[in-house]
Amino acid sequence: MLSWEIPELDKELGGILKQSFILIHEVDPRARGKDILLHILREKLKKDNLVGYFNISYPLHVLMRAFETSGINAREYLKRGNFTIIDTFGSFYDVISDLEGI
Amino acid sequence: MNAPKSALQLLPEGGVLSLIQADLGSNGELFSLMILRDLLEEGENVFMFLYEPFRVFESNSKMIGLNVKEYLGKNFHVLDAFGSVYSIPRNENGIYQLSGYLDDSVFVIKLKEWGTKILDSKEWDGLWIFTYTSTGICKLFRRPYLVYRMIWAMRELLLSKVKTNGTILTLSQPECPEISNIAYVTSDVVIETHVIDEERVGIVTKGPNEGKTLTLFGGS
Repeated sequence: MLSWEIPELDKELGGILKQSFILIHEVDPRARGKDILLHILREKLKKDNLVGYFNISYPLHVLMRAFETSGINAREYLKRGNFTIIDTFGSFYDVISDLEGI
Repeated sequence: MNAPKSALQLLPEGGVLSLIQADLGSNGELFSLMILRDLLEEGENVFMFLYEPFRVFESNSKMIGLNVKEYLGKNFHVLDAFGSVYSIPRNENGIYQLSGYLDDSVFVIKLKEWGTKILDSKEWDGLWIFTYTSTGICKLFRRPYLVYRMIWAMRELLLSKVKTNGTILTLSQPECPEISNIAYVTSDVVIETHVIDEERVGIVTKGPNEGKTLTLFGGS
């Protein structure tokens, strides 16, 4: 089993089954479901995992800001090559980025 | 310390604070104008993005003892988005408008051109950025959620060269819930204003002081 990077969840749910899909449904923005996702992403990157991120909803600059606020140095990981972003929003609305790994 | 000052103190330097009026009766919009009033009185430089009619902004400001015309063109500058979209000309010094045809995407393009020009025109370091109100965007555009996201993308690009003191966004949740939702992604601090037991309060719902409650307007 893989870790949630949140000890309470590991204890309650017994970790994550390999190759599983998990849905975090933020019903109320005040519940801050996105922060759970960003927390897991940050900890996985810290531990040198490979992470792919599908950006569907936000312009890249807004996403990078959200990463920064959550303590994720996305630029560094993108450069290092263990993080990649598939920028659907930018592709759709023609917001071009010259960052590596996007 | 008064409540507007305590709200400002929650904001890290250069950070983004969203004031979301969750209950219409909580007068969160007026509370935000009180922060504006304090900043202007202290001589701070403020740039405001106005998505409501100027007259509404002006008369609401008067309710909390702020005469905006005293500061316009001096330490207060306004981009009048509402007047631009509805072609309501304003000639006061310090009020800017985008001219000609405007729709969702043309607005974003013209705003970017205007922003680049105005940022190059003088030194803007130490600036405060304000919106009144971000959710007003929903009255102006066909796809407001997309326009709002694009404005954010542009902001991050344009302001990479300017050191701002802080940004304060005013939102009215019932008016446009989806824009209020985006505020959580883009802000360092979020304060929601509610009416609880007939008292108007601000609750910090994001940021280091999460859970803290501020009494607005002395509780009345």
